[in-house]
Order: sequence, then structure tokens, then C-alpha cells
Amino acid sequence: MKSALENLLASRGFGPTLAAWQAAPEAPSEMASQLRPGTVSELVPDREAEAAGGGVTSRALQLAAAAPGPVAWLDPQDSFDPASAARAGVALERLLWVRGGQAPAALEAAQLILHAGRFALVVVDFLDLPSAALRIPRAAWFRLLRTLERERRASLLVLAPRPLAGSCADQVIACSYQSVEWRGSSYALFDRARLGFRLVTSRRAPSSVAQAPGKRPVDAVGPVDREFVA
Amino acid sequence: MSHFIAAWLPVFSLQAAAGSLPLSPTVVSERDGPLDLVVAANSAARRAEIHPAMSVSQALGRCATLLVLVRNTEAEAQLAARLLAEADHISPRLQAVGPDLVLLDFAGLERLHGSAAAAAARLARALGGTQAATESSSGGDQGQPSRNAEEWLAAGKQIPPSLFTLQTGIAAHPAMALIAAKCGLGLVAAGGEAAALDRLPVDLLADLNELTRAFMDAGQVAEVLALLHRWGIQTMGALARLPRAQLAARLGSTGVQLQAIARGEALGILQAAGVAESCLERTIAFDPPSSDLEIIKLAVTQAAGSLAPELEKHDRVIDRCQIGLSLENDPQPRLYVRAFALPTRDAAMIAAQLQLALEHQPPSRPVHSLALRCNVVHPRRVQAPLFAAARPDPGKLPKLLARLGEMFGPEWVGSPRLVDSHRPGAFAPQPFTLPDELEAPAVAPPVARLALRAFRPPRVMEGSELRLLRRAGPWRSQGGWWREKGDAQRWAEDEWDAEICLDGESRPAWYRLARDLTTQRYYLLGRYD
Repeated sequence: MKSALENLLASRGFGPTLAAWQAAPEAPSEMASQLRPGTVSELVPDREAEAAGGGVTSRALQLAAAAPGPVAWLDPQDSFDPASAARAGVALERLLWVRGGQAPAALEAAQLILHAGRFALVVVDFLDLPSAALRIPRAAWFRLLRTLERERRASLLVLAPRPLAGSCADQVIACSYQSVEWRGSSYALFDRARLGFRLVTSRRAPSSVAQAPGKRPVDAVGPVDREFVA
Repeated sequence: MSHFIAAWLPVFSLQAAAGSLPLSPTVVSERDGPLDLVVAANSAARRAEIHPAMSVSQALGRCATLLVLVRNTEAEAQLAARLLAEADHISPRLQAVGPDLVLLDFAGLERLHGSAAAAAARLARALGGTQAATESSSGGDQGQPSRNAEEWLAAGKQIPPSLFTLQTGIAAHPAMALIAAKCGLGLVAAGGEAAALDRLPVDLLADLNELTRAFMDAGQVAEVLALLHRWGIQTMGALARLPRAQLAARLGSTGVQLQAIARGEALGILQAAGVAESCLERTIAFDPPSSDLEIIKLAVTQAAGSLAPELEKHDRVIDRCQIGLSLENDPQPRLYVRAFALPTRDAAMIAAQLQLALEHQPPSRPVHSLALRCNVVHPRRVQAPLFAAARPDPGKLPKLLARLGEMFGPEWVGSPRLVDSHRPGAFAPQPFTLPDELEAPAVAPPVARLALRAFRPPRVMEGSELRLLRRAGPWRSQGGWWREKGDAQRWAEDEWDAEICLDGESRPAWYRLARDLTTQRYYLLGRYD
């Protein structure tokens, strides 16, 4: 009853909280196509944007919702909100949520999950961890990459305050709020916002990013800073 | 064409006591008060007018060479278990009608064992004796035993436990197979039941108590048989040909049911014994009590390994298992529980799971005994779509969850479930299990939603400077007001969505802000991202 009422209000523009915010329409399947099986992708906040955050978590939930199989969400800081995930369309019954631990433990858990096989997406959320906790040996990323390439089924998505995986990352996407609009003055309602992202790093061939129909990064703004051909 | 096989050990008590079916007059006696009474007699003894319920002294008076054996209930139990085990090797769908009689459903097993007759012969060979039914043409224990027990006894040797005489019957329905076994008919073709029974004496009905006991006792059967003899009915065929309505008028429904047996009609169905649907148990005792974890783990492996064949045979799996360790000087057993995301019968995996649990929390005291209880369920049968994504490896997933539970703690690994509550952010962690339908990707929402990154526990706002740029709210929520103060389930708070520039940050961010109405303190519940 509660959720039905909230959905009704949200559909009529009376969303009670920010969680009812509606972003610019975007095809999640098209976004999911950017996560190639057997690769590491990173979502980072765009440091050049005005507001903090940048919608990294919202993007990750979109990708998790569109994943074609079970999803594992490694959450060292215990910041995952199941209600937000459900609103984003994530099927909670096929979500494995692992909380707690430190960054190395989370990566070890990711390794185990990838070894178990056939999870479609493994999300590692390092977004709010301090820099000192993010000193991860490069060998750990290479181990993960080898496992991913061997299994060829899952994608690894890393949410982090800055790029961590280096050359192991298939792509690094910087997320930002493009526009934020409030309605009203004193008791304002958060009206709408638009998320954007730019491709910071890509190891893919240019054709697979720009030329293939439906593979183009949606809402991408700004140039690709660096581009490597795999 | 379905076939049923009945396997019967004639003169069961005698075979169990003697280890065979002797040819010379032999009886089994049992003490009943001051008397030793005959409880079973072979055909040679019966020819000497010796019958069950007769005293041993009376029997010896009728036959001086009579061999009297004492009833051995332990040997009977062993023989019954052996018969059941050997029959189980032929077909897992079987019914133990009695300790001496087993019914098997042979449908669909032709490719495995050949014909039903071959399977029956194999069963007889497994018991080491002859297949009497196919060689004899009348009832009783008239089949030729393979060896004479007296020869072994005369030679001062112990009778080998593998010379039993087995009578088998094969028919299209269980009741006829049973009749065929007990009457020595062997194979009875479908539709030929009445013809096969036609010339058999009607007195054989008294021996078919497995069929008649459902509607009349042995005394009533004897009365009806006496009446039939007075009517001149001597054979099964004569009884079968009596007009059913007139028979019912004179003998009632019992007469009709006896006639149905004489006609070889299908009566009843095979009630296959199976593995317990609810749980399986194995218990291992340690003498002396063991505190060595390796020994306990080995016992777990042994217990899990002993379950696997039974589960395999009955096509069942386990979705949850529990080990109870009885500790020295501790009345409460120490419990270790493991639930499997995908039910399994893999003994190695079950053992590994339980061993991990034992390693995580080893018993603090010596262990007296170990009891393994497993919840038995039907296996999932889902045909995966051809073009759908593959599901996680069923074998690896429980191991993965156990390893993650070891690393992070079992309560921190699972799957969140939303609960029906007005409390913001309420959820209930559940064990991660795989739904049957995994392959279809989630329906993409029409629009994206802003996600909240929760602060657990909420950050207290006291002592920090912040710049509030915008806000929306408050929205009040409260619940659990009927609970005691300080109860975690009781809450009352106002919430805002706020654009805040926190102390030390140059850029604003959006937060969910709350004020606890009880303490009047402000908290940050999370940040929108």
C-alpha cells in the first residue's frame, strides 16, 4: 500500500523525497552494453562538476538493473540502500549483497565471486572510502582481470572516488550532474536533474564505441581524454 | 507394459533360523509360557501332520526325526533387511509387505536389468538360493533348495547365510504378483490372471493374508472357506465363476472381495517406500569423547557420505542441514546449521560446508556424539531457456556463500528484502538463494531514480558547521510507539531533503536530514548520489 501510494504520487509529480527524482530518459540496456563481459569498468565522480557525487551510485544501480543475471554488490562501507535499488529496478532477490570489510577483502571477495562463475555483474563500491584505504596493489587488479578474462561471463564495475585499476580498466566513466532544478522557494521540491558522463579512458577500439549503432555512450559530454586500442 | 515382481521367502522363520530351507522335517519353536510351540514347519514336517501352534512335544510324538530349531528374531530381522536391500538394488520403488515379502515396481527398468524374469532370477541369485517360483507349480515351500542344511549341520559346520529359497512372481499388477509368488505361478501374463488361478485350490486364500487382512481376519477366512467347501467350491476358478450379485447376497462384500482375488483382479496399488520427505538423520558416537576437530570433521564426512546414496536412489536433495554436537557436561547440543542456496546431494559439498562451520566455531568441550539432520526436498526441475543467461554454478554457489560468510560474517552476506514498514530504509537481510527464473533480465524502469547512499549509523550533526542551501520537507514518520523507550523498533523523526555544503567541502551535495523527535538531535541519514 505504501509503495503503491508513493508510486502514484511520484507518477503525478508529487514525489515526497529526492528518491522520486526522475533523471533524463536513458536506455539502461544501452548503458549495459557498455559493460563488456570479462572486463573491468570504473565509475568515478567528475571532479570538474560543480556538485559532489555525480550520480555514480544511481548509474551503477541502472547498470545492475539491466544486468542479464545475478548481481553481486560488495559494499565495504555498508552504504547500499535496498529501497533505492528496488526503485531503480534492481531485482533484490537476485542480488548478493556483501557488507563490511576493507578494500582488499572486498577485492578478494570479488575474486571468489568471479571464480564461482556466472554472476553477470560484480559491483565493488569504494566510493566513500578514504584515500589511505584505497592503496590497492596493482597485482590485485591484474588477478581480477585474468579471472574475468578466463570466465568471460561477468563484468566488474568499480565505484571509486578516482580511477584505481589503471590499465586493467576497460573504461573509466566520469559521472556528473549536468543540471539540477528545484521548484519553489522555502519548501522546495527537488524537481529534476540530468546526469551526464564522459568517457575518461577506454581500451576499446574506436569503432566499438562510436560507430556501432546503439553502442555510443549515452549523454556523453566532453572529449575522450585518453584512448587506447586493445 | 508395467510389471510388478513379488519376492517371497517361504517359511521365513525357518529359513532365518536354519540359514536355508531344510528338506527333512524341521520346525521352529518359540516358548509361550510353559510350552514350546511350533511357529513354522517345512513341507516335510507338514506331511507328518505337524502344524504351527502345536507343542513341540506333540510334534516330536508325530515325527521322531524332527529337527527343532529355536526361533531367532535377530536372524529374521537380518534376513528381512537383506531381502529389502537386494530388492532395492533391482528397483528403488518397492514395498515391504512383510518381513518375508517384497513387492517391486519394475516399470521402465527393462533397459537396466533386461526382462522382469531376468531381474527376478538375479534377485534370487543375490540371496544365494534358487528361484523356486519358476520351478514349482504349486504353493508352499515346495521349491528345491540348493543345498541341504542338514548336510552342513551333520558336518559340524555353520550353515552359510546364502542358501535361502526365494519364490518370485511377476504380473501386471501388484496383487497378482503377490499371488503368483505365494502360489508359485512365476510369470503371469497380463490378461491371463484368471486362467492362471483357475485350477488352484481355493484353500490358498488362507495363505494370502497380505491381501485378505484388509477386510477380514484369518478366522473369518477359514469360516468362508468352510462354507465354500460345503457349497462344493474347491478351486479358485469355481469361486471366480459364481454370480457376483448372489455371492454378495450370501457372503456380503467380503465374499465379493475374495472372488476378486480368485479372478486375479487388480487390488490395491503398490505403496512405494521412499526416503523420509522431511528429514534424514545420521548419528555417530565418539567413545571416548573426542575434542580433536579433525576426527569430528572426518565423522562429518562419513555421515554426509552415507546420506548420498540414499538421496541419489530416491532422487532427493537437501536444502538445509544441521549438525548437533553433544558436548561433555553440557545438556544443550551445539548446533551448526547450513542452508543451501541450491538444494544438493553432493556429499563432498555438504561435508565441506559443515566442516567450514565447525572450523569457524570449533566445539569448546569434548564431543560425545554427532547428529546430522538434513532437510530433504524434491530437486528443482527447471528447463533453462536456450537463449537465456546461465545461472550460477549450483555446486560452487553454496561454497562461495560459506567462504564469504567466513570472511565477513554470515549476517553480512545475503540478499536484502524490503519489509512492509513506514520506517525509512527498513529492510531485512535474507540468505541469498537463486529463484527458479533468473534468466529474464529485470524490466528496465522507465526513468532512472536517484539513489541514496545510507550512513550506517546515521551521522550526528552536532558540532559541525554546515551551510544549508535548500531544503524540502519535513516529512514526519513514527512507529513502534507502543514499545518501551529505547527500543530500537520505536522511532519518531522528521526528515528533509537538503542541499548542504558541509564543513570543509566547497561543493554542495544532497542529503537526507533527520531530526529525532525524542532527543531533538539532527542526523544525516544518507547522501543522494
